[in-house]
Amino acid sequence: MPGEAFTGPLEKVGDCKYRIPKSYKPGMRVDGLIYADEVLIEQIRRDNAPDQVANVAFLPGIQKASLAMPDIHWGYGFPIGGVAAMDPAEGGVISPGGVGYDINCGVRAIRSDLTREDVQPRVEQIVTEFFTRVPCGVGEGGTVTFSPSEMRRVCLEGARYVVRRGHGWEEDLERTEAGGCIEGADPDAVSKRAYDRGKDQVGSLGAGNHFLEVQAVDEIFDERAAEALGVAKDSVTFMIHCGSRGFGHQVCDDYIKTMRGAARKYGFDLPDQQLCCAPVESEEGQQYLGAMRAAANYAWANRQLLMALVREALSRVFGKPAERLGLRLIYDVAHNIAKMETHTVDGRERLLCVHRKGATRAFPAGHAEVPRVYRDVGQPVIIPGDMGRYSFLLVGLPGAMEETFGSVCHGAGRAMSRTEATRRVSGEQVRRDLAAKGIVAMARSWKGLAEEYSGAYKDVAEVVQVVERAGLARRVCRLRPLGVVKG
Amino acid sequence: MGTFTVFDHTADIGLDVQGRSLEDLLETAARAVFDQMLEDWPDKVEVLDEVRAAAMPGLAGDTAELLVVWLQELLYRFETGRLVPMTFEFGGIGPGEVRATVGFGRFEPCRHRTRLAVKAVTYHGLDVHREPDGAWRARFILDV
Repeated sequence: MPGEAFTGPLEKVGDCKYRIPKSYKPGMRVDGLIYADEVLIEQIRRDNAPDQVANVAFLPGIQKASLAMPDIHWGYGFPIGGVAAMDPAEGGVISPGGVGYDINCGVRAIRSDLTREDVQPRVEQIVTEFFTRVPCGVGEGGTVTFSPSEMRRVCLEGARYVVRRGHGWEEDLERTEAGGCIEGADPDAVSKRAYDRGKDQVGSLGAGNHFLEVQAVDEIFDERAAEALGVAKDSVTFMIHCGSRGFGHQVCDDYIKTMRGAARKYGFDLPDQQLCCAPVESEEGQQYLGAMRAAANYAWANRQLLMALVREALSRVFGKPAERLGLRLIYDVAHNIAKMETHTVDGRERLLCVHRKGATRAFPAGHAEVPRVYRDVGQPVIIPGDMGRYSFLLVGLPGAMEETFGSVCHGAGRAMSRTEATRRVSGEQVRRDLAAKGIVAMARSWKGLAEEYSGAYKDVAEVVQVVERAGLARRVCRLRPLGVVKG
Repeated sequence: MGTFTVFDHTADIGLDVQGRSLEDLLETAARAVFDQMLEDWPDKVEVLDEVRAAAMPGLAGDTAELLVVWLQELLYRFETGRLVPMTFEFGGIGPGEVRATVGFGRFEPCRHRTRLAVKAVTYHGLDVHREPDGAWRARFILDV
């Protein structure tokens, strides 16, 4: 029964690790492994998420363990906060449920030369400017409509395409995961319906937990890394959380259908229909990979366009071009994606299909895929918290490569359902509470704002502490919200 | 007219829907989904359109799949045409296919207050069945 507390085994196997042994359910190919401390594991037990960790362990070709990050919570199929790497050479599969409907949902953080002192008196004006310029909320279209041939280029080139059309700077691409474009996208593997849904939505925020935030750095944990990322105490940053909108949702819908058929065709015995999958090397697997990459590229183009709107808005408020405000991208990272990556398993390098469903890539210093500007400190990892408390910037550590296929958490993780949240607070109350803390909030939906209130989330500070204690990533700084725009 | 309730899900929205017949279930499920998305509904029907939703070959006998494709079709029309389904006249529900004349109102973002964007109807925990008394019941989770 969905939603029940987990009563299965959770064996403490390290400082911040709990194991679900593969003996828990017949059919599990590997153990489940959840990164959490004593406090978080009690929250994690309260819903079905650990059972979903065990279910992912059924998938063919899974390597080492079905992993879960400390922000894990109940999803559909995969848990949110799940990581699973499959080896195609061992019949490893790819599963649309391991990526999710919002393909390449991710976060983008922007630094500035502005200080808290510069921004505090103008937060209301900034948030209003964002709210006016950035399309957000249910049913809202984007800022640009692409023709069919332009949409194909978005699919193939991602953020590169929109930057070359004038919506950003070349250096933005260096500071985006995969350069803002995964190779191997196949626009022909995307349905007409996905194009229909996506063509008017590029450059829109959407709704739900997506947001645009104004933040100030209030604590530095690692001076050297902070300097590399371009942030200092009391400097102001901006954060965008968004994905591939209806385009990605439709790609997932389409391929869940394909994979339901494929799972039967290949004789997979799966504990949840949402885990349907096909071998990476199969025709179905390759088609999904091509379509998923197209949607991932769409998402990078979307966040690039949103950043262009942020730059325009701030230029207007401060009467200076974005360059003179120092509005440089820190990094853009995906947290719903499947990527082919090389990792070492049992002492041997292998090309694996790494699913990150609500998990962030966190490659360490020296890794070839870390942008040159960060090569000495590690890949920036952006971990949004909730709109009333704080968010964090981290950098990846070698431990992530050794243990979690270069992955960490993606956020705070929900601790309370949306219905429970609206039982406890109203949107108006949330706005007043945020205002009392000096945070200006604007939202298209009051109810949506209530569902996203701080109390509905775990404390992200506890989540990132676990990640640091486990040696997966290191905290660089903490960001306090000053203003927030929600859909 | 059927009924629906929302059940708790940590991140998303769970719906329990009941209808006296399969048609009633499909209509109530549609209302339940759009109720999660909108706080204000359009005042009137402006467009009457034939809606046909078909399950993939091989899943024709699967009523749960029929519910999913029906809701997917309505969500698609909302996203591409800002159309909100308000009235339903079912023309036939056969193996793997549902046909209906649906009266749509027009959603206007500047006028209608909204709540959640529904990304998709998921298959996790999906269940559609007929009760011994003949009523239909569906349980599903929306990704929001």
